Amino acid sequence: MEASITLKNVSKHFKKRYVLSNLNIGIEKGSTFAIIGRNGAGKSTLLRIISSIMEPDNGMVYINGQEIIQNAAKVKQVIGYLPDEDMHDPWLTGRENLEKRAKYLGLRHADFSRQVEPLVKLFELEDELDNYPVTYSRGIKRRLDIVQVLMGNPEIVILDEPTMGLDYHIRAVLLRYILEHKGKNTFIFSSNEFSDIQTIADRWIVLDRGRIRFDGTLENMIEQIELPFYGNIEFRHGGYQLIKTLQHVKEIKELHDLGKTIQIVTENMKDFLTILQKVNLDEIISISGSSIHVEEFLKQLNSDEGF
Amino acid sequence: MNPLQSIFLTELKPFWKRAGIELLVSVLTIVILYIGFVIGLSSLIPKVQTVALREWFFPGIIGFYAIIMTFNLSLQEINQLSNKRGLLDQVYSTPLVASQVYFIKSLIYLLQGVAYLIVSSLFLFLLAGKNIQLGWLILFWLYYVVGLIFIVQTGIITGFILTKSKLQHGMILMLFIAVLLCTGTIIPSSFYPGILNPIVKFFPTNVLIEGGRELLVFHKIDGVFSLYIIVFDSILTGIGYFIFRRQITN
Repeated sequence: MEASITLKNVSKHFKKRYVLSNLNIGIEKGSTFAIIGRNGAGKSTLLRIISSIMEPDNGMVYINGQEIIQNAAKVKQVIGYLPDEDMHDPWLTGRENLEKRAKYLGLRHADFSRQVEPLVKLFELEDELDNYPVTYSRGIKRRLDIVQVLMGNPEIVILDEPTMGLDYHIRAVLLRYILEHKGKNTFIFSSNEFSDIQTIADRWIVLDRGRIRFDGTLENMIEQIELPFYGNIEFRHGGYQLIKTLQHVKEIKELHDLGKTIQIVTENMKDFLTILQKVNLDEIISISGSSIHVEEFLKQLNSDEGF
Repeated sequence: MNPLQSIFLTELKPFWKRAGIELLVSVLTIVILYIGFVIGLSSLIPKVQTVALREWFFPGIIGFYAIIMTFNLSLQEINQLSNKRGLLDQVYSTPLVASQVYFIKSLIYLLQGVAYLIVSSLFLFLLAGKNIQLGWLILFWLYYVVGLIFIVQTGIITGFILTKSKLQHGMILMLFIAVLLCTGTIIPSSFYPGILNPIVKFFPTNVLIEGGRELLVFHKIDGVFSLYIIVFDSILTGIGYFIFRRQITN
């Protein structure tokens, strides 16, 4: 598949500390690419560089074959970038912010109605547009910024922690949008939510202190490392009774009381399913689980590499 | 309407929303300056050189107000942009390159500074019941438009260099005192003796205020001052852009 974005030996440092160190990445056109890492791993810096907003200290970035610094104006025409902070003017209403962005993108009035109104509807902002962002909740502010980024249907959409502050429903709307548009658009995003990444990402990298520690798919990851399974059981009235019952079950590696939710760590998913058979399902509100946790994954990688 | 015009109008929108408060502040400030300098001081010192004190002070008050307000505005706006990166990202993550963003932002601050200039001039003339010689007033405004470019650039540079609000407030206070007392608003540069004379005379804000006074009071255009301001504008715009580009791409 054709590469949409290519990074060659990209490095960036702030005050003598390398935030990104010699990165080489190729991102295929039409794919969904995720960046994972702990705070300070370099995710936002990497996304700002790919967006042509920040310049690397060393190395080159190419978008659709064009070097981004020399061809900034051209390259930026195909990019939509959502930073990890508010991207709107507090002195303008939601609608005025969208109009401002549209003018900077060069959208004509007819295009504005055609492209922006469906997005406003999709992200359920109709009732909020004539208010000032100061009256918005965190999630509504994020929705306004997402609409600003998606307007103009950019070929490459770069999202820094896009689901931050979004409620469950709007998060699902955004993920569905990405799934519907992948293939035509390239999506690059950072997130700490493994469930989001599992749902939509074709490929992902794990960044740790500016270096790529993993690059591949979910299948590659599972093949590479055996990870424990984290199961969460949410109870109507707290699960302390269950904790007492399960304390000596041999399949359980760790047991965490998180209020109404109990987190059970087992060797694998099969063990978790065995434990579920011992639970009274009438008392349960929800069950969820994942074998992928960035902390655990990095810990395993480090121990394998002798760190 | 072309896209650039439309961007300017959108960028000016927040300013229009604050226009009521800005106008009230402008009017009150001009009234205070008028009472203090024109009414109060003219009974103590009727003339400066050959000119009646009220005539003398008019361009000084207008210039002083326009300089301080423009500097303050560009400093605060740039400070907000550098503190809230998302606000800059809203504009810079579009097909515009750094030089275009810088040009737009500088022009917006300049236009707002010019609005302060025009409002303060008209209100002062109205307050004093003075006849307006429109031709000279327009020339005076044009001279100030060119001069306010370096004031905007100084505000931008200061906003990027001094990131702490206490230092910024200190800088605004220092400029306030310097412009009011040492650079032509009250005391002509020719009154300063020895080495202080050329320093005060060619201090940029003095060039702006005394050059403006030459136009409005003596109906003379000072070529050296005009050229000096254009050169100063160019140098500071270059420095301002260099710092701005470094800040947004790093």
